[in-house]
Amino acid sequence: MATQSKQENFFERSAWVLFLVLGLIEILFGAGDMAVGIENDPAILVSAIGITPSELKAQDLLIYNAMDQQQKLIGLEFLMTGALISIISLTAFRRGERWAWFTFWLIAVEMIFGVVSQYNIRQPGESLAPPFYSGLLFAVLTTLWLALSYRKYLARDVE
Amino acid sequence: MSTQTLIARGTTFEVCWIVLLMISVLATLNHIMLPLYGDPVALGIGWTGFSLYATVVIAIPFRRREKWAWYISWILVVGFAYPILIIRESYTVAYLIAAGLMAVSLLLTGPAFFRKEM
Repeated sequence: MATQSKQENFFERSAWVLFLVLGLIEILFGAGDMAVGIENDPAILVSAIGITPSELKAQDLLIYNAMDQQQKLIGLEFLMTGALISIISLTAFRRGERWAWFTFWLIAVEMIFGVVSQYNIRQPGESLAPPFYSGLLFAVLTTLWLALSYRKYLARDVE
Repeated sequence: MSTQTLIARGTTFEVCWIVLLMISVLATLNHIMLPLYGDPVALGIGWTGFSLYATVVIAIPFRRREKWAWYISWILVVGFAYPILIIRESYTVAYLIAAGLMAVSLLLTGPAFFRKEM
């Protein structure tokens, strides 16, 4: 075990921490979205439809409520995904199990889809929403860390 | 413990595991389709990702009877039951039924994870 740790490079040693942090961030953001709904990050709505949540509430309460519910569902998904990522990173991924490494590539894919989606829904003239930048950052970080820790997970003696 | 009891417990685990796996796979397929039903793409991407992670956890570590997989699988029950509290639409009833089935399956598989080693 000690010899194995010595042979691990920086990315192999620290990958599980990156995913644990990512999972915890998702839990925090998810809890915020579940509690406050669409008001949690008004910039997302401004980027998508060009008005703030309070303006939308004044204009059309029905649409406001529908979008608020959707944001709460996104928050629930964030919270649960964060919990799954955290527990996988603390257990199987940390132990070097191959299936966990392959599964975590889904995070990078999901982030890229999210970034493209944020880019596409932006109204002309509006700035990009914060999830575009955070998604891009985590897409790059997860891809980098997973790619550079491949030896730990794809070695023959693992699993 | 008799051989028959052990076989029955093994069968119960297999049946419940298949139920859990089927629900998570069906949920994944359903969530992929969300944008086609008119829901935002972000919602579809997020829920599809979540369902895929859950499916992998049920397919691999849960089947290996790793305790953490049993504990974390309860989040599926919570996640599927919760929408009925914030949304008044018929599909949330289907989610609630799925949550109930998963809760029963998890309860029935519990002994396989926490049985004392012989």
